[in-house]
Amino acid sequence: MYACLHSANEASGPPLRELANSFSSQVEQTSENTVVFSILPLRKLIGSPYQIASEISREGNERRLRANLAIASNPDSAVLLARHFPGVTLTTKALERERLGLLPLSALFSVADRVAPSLLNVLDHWGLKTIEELAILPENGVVERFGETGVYLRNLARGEVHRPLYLSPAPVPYEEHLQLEHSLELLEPLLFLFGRVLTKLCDRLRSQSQAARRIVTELNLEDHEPYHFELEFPIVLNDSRTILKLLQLHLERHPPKAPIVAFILRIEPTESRHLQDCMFLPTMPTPEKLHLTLARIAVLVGKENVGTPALLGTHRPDAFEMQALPKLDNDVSFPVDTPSVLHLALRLFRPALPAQVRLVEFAPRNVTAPGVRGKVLQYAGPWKTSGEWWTSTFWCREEWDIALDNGALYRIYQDLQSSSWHIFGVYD
Amino acid sequence: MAKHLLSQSNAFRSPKKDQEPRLTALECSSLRRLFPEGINRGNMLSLQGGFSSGQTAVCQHILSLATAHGEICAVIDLNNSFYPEIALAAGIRLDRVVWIRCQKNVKHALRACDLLLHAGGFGVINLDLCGAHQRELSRVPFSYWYRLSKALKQTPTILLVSEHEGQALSRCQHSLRTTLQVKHWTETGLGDIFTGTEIHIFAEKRPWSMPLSLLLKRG
Repeated sequence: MYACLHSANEASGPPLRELANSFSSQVEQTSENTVVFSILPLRKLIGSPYQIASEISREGNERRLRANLAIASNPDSAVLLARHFPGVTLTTKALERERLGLLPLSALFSVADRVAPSLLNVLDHWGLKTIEELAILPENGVVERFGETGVYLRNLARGEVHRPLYLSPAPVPYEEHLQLEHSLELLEPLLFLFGRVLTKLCDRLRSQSQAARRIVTELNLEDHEPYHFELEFPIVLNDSRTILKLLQLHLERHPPKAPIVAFILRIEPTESRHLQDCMFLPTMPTPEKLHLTLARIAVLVGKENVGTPALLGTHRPDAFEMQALPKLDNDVSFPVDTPSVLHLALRLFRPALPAQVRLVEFAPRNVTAPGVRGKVLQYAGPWKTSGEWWTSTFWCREEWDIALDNGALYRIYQDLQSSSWHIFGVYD
Repeated sequence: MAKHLLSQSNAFRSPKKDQEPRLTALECSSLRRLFPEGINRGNMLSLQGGFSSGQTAVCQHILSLATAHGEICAVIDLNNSFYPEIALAAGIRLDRVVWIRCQKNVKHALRACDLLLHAGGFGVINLDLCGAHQRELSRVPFSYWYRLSKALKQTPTILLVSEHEGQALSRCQHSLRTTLQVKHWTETGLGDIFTGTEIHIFAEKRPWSMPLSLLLKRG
């Protein structure tokens, strides 16, 4: 036997589920405002279906819920009855089919998800209007015309579809709160407690085949505002030691201002990462270890100085952005197309070196800049480039390639807005 | 008799070389004369030369070969001089490169290199110390290079140290010096165009070998 609770109000989904959970551990959330649960185990505990229905109604009234309740022999019939009959509907097996038969045929299609809605038009053309009219059709004729789908629909109309409940697990909380007896001033004991809590949270993540995408930490401080920070991981993690190390690196850089009296750790879960590595591809750093290593290096050189360069979609010289992690998938096609020609590299001076350039007949003859000084032996240029006049990153300059008497080759440019000269880089 | 038995038996042989796993070397057709079997993994390779000598071009070529095979590489950039646009033109897959800008701090560069080596799994790590003050480089304890070379052993990583002077030279299995030979300019009706250079590469530890001549095209 199954009970179905249905409310016209879509916002009442969670309270309905709570009510169902108080009676059964096997609850199916059929839709936002419909839940179905098994009441068979309640027969020994409460009694007859009538007594069970009374108990559910009483509990619902106490919780001030307005919903329809139906009890039927299978989940789909219970849903149909609860959706279309107000109040409490309690049927016997014989009465169930009679009640269902009164409903319009379209009601059947609201339950039968796997049946194409176009079938309703066909049945309508046949002159079938109610469920009972479909239920009394001969089985062989329905099979000949609609096959397996027709049989399923006919059985549904007769209240003879017995299926298991599609149980959705209750949401697992990924949050832990710890109130400390004594305030903590040092990082080490705090990390010890973090480690204990994170182990618990990561075990919970792994048991649900999930991983952490972000961790939110809230530290309640003595006589201070709570200290709150978030760490977002470029790769999903479910290893407590890695997360702990990242928290440690963050707290070492940004320590709280006062002793800690309580903390909350909250993990935002996501699908865990599954990778099938190939035998014939080169080894790569493990994502967790790489992330941790780059976080450690970021402590040394700054977060903005570590990452993977990505060019921006512009012609502006030296336009790039730093991304968090390199690509770690094995998308290498064989045979590998290896570059055979060597290209001259350009080493940049960041920022470009301000230079003094002496011109003779509009061409550079002498260049003087910090660390660079010489006579221009040969030159090529100028090449005028400009762009992005509509933004603050507007540039307009004339570039030259020059060979100095010190043996090196440079790229210099004149900024046409300020008429100043700069050394952009050296060919190497 | 016992001596004879010992010499015949394989069981008492030293397990040294036979049991060491051999990692596939990085094949480099342009440098085949210097590295006939490719650049061996787990080795430190020093590249020295002044500005415009082509050492950065050689480094970027090796990086491009490694990234083409899908390996993850790293550039530890002391002077923030790596130019991603030119690197892409040289064939480097930028999405496989970790770029660390050390803001002229040699200590940070060496520490970052150490951390990357211990993380493992990198194909090529380019420690670019060009432009570092000689005084600052000479302060680096000699043992540090030993530590790096020790960390490299039995890893699939090649450490490329590029510098103007050879500080890491003694600990490197290979050391190359690049020099600029010819600058190529093409005359057109509207003036000259710089098209590339020709460089020579010397193997420092094999002074009797002939230099390798390479043509570098301007990208």
